[in-house]
Amino acid sequence: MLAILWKTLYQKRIAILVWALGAMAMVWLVLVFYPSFSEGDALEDLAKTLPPSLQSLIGDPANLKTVGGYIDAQVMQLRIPMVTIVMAIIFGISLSAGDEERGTLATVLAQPVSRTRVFLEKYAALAVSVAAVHLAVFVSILATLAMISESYSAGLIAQAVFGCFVLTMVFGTLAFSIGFLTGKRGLATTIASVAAFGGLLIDSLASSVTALQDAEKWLPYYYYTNPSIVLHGIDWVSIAFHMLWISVALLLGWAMFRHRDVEV
Amino acid sequence: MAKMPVINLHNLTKNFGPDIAVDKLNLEVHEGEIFGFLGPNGAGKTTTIRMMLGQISPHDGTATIMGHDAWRDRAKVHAGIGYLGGDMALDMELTGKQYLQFLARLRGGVSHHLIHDLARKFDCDLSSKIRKLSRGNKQKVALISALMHDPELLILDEPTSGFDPLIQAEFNKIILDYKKRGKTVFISSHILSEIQHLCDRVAFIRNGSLVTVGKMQDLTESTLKRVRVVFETEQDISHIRAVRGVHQVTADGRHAVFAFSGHMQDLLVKLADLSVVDLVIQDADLEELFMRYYKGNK
Repeated sequence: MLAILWKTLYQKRIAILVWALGAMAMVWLVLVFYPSFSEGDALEDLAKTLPPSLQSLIGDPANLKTVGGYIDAQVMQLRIPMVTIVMAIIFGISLSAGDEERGTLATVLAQPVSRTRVFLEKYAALAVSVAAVHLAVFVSILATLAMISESYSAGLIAQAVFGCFVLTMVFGTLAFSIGFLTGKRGLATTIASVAAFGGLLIDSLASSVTALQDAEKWLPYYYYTNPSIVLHGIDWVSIAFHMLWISVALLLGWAMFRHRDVEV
Repeated sequence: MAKMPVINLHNLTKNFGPDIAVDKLNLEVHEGEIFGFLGPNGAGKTTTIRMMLGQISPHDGTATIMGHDAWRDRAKVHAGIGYLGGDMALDMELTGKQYLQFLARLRGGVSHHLIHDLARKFDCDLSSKIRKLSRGNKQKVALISALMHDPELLILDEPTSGFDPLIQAEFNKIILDYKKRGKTVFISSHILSEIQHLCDRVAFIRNGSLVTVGKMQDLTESTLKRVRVVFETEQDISHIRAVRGVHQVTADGRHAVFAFSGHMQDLLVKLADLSVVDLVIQDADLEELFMRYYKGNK
């Protein structure tokens, strides 16, 4: 049972560990400076000089003086999602189009397993890998807070990390599904990257470009940051929006993969 | 009632854009046969096999394997077959043992004794990571993966590339043992010598179309024979040249060598008029047969 899932996780174990350690190190490097940021107004003054589009990327400078605001603005809004989204896109493409281009997918498909099973077990491997990195982020936030003698609601941090996991899975699923839909690594990378980072750009520019304000409401990132999960808790409507994206991408990838030619 | 063929290809057709890779291919392979599928690179052999495995769909026609449609019921088809490709992509970061255990778990019901037995027969190192193995050893791991569940049908696409002669001999023994046990083997190759001693029937494919299919024996009997004659003295061999079916005559003093594809009686009558001291008639090997089909049809 679940032979493809376990084999994939075993093969990816080093990569998962490296990404998890990288994300933990990033959390630690950012949070460890919180005591310095919380004292004085220099950062707040500097932030006020930035154009609105850049201000939207770092959030409300006043929030930086509270632990929750700092975690939100400096860790969970941008830095960690960037790391996990890049990781999820790389993993998603490697498990789909990457395996097809290497020829290992065709070898598995010569065994008595349905394409649906291959698709779902590989997707489960992607989800577990991404979840492992998010678990590492959660642990790192709590550990670093303890290290700098600060505290914050573990429940809100867990919700924020879960929200980030769901956002990350939107783009990981997109990469994975396009990989299975087309079998083309380059195409899947391009579309998933444009969706992830183009969306982020639109979201950050929307605060100063009126024409983009409607467009951003169709994009996953908007529902991740509005409202801030670290400060206000999870918004299940936003999660449902992300789940809709995931479901549509997953269904399309699965339906096409079942009926298309597989390259060797 | 006649038994259903193990492999039944009916008008099987596959296009890649404007190129026709396989064109209305009709073929039946029966239980207990070793069937050779011959053709040069690019003839459509691998495309045909990929349709038989349900990896790609035919544009027209059907491939029925052990009674199941190869595209719609591919998982059922795969349960009964063992497949070996010429250059199969294996999971490089696993050891041979881990890789075979993974495939065994996917299949279920695989005997670990059989895996060890095959590894011993092929002298295959299963403890090293696959990426560290030579091409021949990788091919051995892939071959074990095709044989380890003792399938009813073996589909082998250019299987012995990278094998040394000892392993080739072991491979031949296993294939012949399969036939003895009533199992079926479909083997594609462009290395003709490896097919010649194994196959009951062969098919030739060129540009996606079947050129001919027949029993190995019939094909070699109906084809060219290589004739070498030594005369007592130098002879005028114009009578020999005139015999229907004599080709490619090379005469040198008392010696004459030529290819012959006509009635042997006609040739022997003409030779009886000459003072022959030695006569050697050899069946053409499959290589010559192969070249005849491909040169003649270009």
